[in-house]
Amino acid sequence: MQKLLDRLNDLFEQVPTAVRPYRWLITLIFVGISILMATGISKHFTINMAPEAWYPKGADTIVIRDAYRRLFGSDDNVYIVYQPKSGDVFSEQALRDIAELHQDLEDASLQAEPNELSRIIKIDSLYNARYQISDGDTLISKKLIGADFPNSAEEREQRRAIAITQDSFSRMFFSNDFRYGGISLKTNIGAVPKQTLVTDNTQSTDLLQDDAFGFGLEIDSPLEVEANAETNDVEFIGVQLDEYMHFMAALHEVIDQDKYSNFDFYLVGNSVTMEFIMNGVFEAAGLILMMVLLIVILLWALFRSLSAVLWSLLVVIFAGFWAIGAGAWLGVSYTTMMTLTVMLVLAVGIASCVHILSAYTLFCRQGADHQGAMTKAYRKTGLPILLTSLTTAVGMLSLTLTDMPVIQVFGATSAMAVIFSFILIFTILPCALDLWHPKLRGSQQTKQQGKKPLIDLQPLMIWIGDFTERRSKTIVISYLVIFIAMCIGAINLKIDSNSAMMAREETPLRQSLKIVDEEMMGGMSLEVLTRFGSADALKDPRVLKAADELQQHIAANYADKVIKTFSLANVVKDTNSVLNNNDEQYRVIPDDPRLTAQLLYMFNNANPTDRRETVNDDYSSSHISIMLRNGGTYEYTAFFKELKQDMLRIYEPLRADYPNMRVELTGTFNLAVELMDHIAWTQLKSFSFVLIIITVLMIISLGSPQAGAISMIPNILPGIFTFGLMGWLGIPLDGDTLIVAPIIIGIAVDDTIHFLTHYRASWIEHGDVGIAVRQTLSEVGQAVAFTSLVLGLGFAILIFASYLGLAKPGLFGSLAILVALLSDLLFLPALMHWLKPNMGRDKVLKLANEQAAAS
Amino acid sequence: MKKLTLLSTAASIALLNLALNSAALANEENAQLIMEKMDEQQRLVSDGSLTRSQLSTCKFGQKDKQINCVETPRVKILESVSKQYGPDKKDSKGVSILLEPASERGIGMLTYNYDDPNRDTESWLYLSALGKVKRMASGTGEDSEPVSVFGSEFTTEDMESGNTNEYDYKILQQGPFGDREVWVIEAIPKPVRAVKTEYSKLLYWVDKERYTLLKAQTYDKRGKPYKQLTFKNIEKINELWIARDVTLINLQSQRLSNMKTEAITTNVAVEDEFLTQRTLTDFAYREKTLEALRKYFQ
Repeated sequence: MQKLLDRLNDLFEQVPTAVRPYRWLITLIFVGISILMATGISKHFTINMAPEAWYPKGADTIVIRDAYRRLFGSDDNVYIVYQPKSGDVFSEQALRDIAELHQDLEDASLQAEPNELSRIIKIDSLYNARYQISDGDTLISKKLIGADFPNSAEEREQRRAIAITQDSFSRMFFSNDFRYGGISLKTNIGAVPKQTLVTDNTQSTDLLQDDAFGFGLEIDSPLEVEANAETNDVEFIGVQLDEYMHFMAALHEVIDQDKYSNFDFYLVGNSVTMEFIMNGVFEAAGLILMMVLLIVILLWALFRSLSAVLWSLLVVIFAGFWAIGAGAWLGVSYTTMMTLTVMLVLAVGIASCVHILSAYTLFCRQGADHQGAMTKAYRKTGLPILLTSLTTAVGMLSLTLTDMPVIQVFGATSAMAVIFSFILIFTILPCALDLWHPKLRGSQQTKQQGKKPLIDLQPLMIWIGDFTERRSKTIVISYLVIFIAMCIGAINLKIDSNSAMMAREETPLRQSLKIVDEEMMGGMSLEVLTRFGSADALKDPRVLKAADELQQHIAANYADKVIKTFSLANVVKDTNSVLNNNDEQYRVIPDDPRLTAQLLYMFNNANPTDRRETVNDDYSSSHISIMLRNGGTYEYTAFFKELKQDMLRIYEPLRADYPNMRVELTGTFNLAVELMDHIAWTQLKSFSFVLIIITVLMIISLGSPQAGAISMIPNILPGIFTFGLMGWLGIPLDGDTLIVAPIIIGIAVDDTIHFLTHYRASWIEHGDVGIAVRQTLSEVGQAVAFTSLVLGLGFAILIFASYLGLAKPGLFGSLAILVALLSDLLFLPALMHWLKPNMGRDKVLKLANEQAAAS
Repeated sequence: MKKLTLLSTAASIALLNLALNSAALANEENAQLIMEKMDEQQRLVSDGSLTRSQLSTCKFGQKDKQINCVETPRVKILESVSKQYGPDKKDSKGVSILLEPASERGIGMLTYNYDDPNRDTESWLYLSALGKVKRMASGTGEDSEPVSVFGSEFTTEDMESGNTNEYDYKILQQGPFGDREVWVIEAIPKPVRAVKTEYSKLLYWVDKERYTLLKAQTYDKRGKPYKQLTFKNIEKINELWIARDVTLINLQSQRLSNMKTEAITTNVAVEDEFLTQRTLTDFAYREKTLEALRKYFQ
């Protein structure tokens, strides 16, 4: 092994000299590949921001969700809460305003396409809410406001009194204290079929030509059953994040008009959350640009030459560009995770460049000429760069073993980007540095030999060398104490993702969620899809009673999460009571199947649209809607599990009569919770897996199990410290932070590899810890500090993001980088001083002696 | 009565043809006259009639451009009696009783429609399992939304006659349609209608000779194709042209309904007492009267 490492060192040393005669050929190849990748991007690059992209094809969750959408349409709705200035939704002004707003929204939704608001297919508010009451022998079913506007105070109070009697109205259309009102917008988002059966023939100039059925179809014997005929709803068009944004912008155009200034609006729903996340993506792009800008400034400040900035960026940008181009050629569809690939290659690529540049300038300052400094720099840094690239690439490749396509693509693209960055560092970078390089002068050198560095860390490194020798035990013990404390903290760490809570406290989304959860019907919803595989099952009183039992169980046991539930059972119970003169005793599911069938007949006749939203046409499938307060995966994953057990317990006795029965949990919120939880655990697992792989690689590359084991301490310290701190502060670990975690660990690992590779080489050479530590700090310490400074500050910029999914990784990422830096500069030298690990030196010396004897 | 009706029909058709040939009349006026004439024919059919219809509904699919059910259709069988009232016989009373399916047998609906737009439609529902008649009050004008006819894709709006003054009509085209000569007429709801209709536009294919519909298309409020109706088995019964097979495909719900007139008799004497709530609840009375009328079934 040692032989191989020595050979590699020799090889890397020769790189700058070897590539020099071929610099034009290398440049030509570089340009050629770049053109090839640009062609790939321009021709085949696709970006898919639909949430479905996260699931493998045919995933159960999506299959059930689509089955629901085929039966009952989209559950991706917007809920608008309004707060009238008058303080009462039944005040004259508030009622007039809501009537106008309702009409405005309806008119806007009916405008010809292209029209973003044509996604709204149904609007429900106090204006059109249809109530049902019995008055003697008359069954009254009217709109609460509609065309019959209540002009007098007395009339308005009468409407309020009617509204109170309607179970389904409270918290849906008004809060208990009438200060807030609600408008529900049912959309077709995610339920638009990919293909339609008909083409409009109205454009046809000859209406007589079409002597068949019209719309391009024929109908001879329609009632004959052709089970293989194609239906319209095989697959739905996926919805991209930006579409939510356009939809929300169009909606804001309507509600933000001056005439509705009497209302304060609070919007919730998946579209609102998606709009927020999309804004987060834009913000991320902006912040990454700022990160790059900061890196540019720091690189310039460290090396006092634009060449350092330009060549480092050249490596990073083209590595990322090539990787994305290669992916495009391979037919990969990208997601927002692409931003993370960019961040990763930025971190790893810049770090490697800083190490080379730092070594190069150091040797120049020590008096070496350009070629000599280049040779030495590549010898000293080549192997660690190979190792860091290899560990990062392997770590990223391990992500392809997960079951999520998005993570697989991210892993593969990032691995490619890291490899490309390595290739560029050893081909185009030496050519570029020959052309133009930074010139920093040493303390003994003259102005002509270069610029004075703005930041000179060498004195600090010397001090650290002395300090860690003096206080080695104190440092190691302090670290151990902190490590144990943080381990305890990490035990208490909750894994909890909640995309809506990624908004900061003061943002409209958070305020809306608070109001909707406290005053109205809750910001989230869930569906229990019940399919019995047998026509008229939903007319069976036992089936309706099962739904009722589940709803009552939910109300009794999960009141902290669930605000309301609704199902066909409510319809039957309400209608039964209304037909029996509003007698509460009749608010039950009747035992007579004929009566339930006729009560449902009435419901269907009165409102086929509502019926179709509640139960399918042959009454074989229905759903129970559960309105919930917003919450995170930690709380809701457990709740969903309990709920599934309740569903099983209550419905299972029906299986004898309905052997094909399926009772499943679905809905956008269920999907989001499942997905976020799955991402978090997948990432945590891959994270642990990556650490094991890296340890193995370190053992091999450092040529000693002891060295490998030591290397893991500074590698896991940043993670343990960050997670422990989060645990102590009660901040949950969310999916977003976990996604960024591999990047942070990557940076931490890279610095450790550089430090330990140098240290071991020096230790083997001198056999003196003091010399080895000082030499390592002098040659690598500065570069490690530089990379940590550049990347730590870069990550710190993200703290300013309003999307906490970005701000939290920003804060904890920069903290982890700082901890990693302190571990490399303080803990590792102190540990070496105290323990003086052999790190395979004896073996190497023995081998060398044997070789000497043999020769 | 029959003679008088036929005479008046013949006379009015002659007058209408005269009017249509007159160059002085604008296209819109012609279209209005045609629709009124057709509407009058419909009223004649429902004045003293008994029908037994089979109403089948299913989800549809397409294979080689052919529309077919993709599941077993849900079938309902009902008997309906109707009669026209008022000075111009523009008001109507009707009663429908469900015979099948078994779970819904005996459900009955009694409806009074008035030509006067200020007068509400009156209706009573009888649920046999509950044994109670309930008067239904569902608001007027824009508050009264079209509802489904016995759970099918047909709505009350698709079935209603009259209200020809609530649309602007225009002849789009005329000529041979299959083996019949037709006018293709476009109907756009006037504001008074717009607030209570589900449609933004309707197209009618009207048989020039018989004044019956061969086809109709409706468009939703966004102007997208919504429903398509086709009229088949058009037979002359008691000198009146009647389509005995009407299929409606709802392109948005992906469901079709077919209404087959299994048996019909028109222009029979229906006593006023029969078109009251008594028919809904008094099974013996109802059966006795219907039995007498069924003798005229064709």
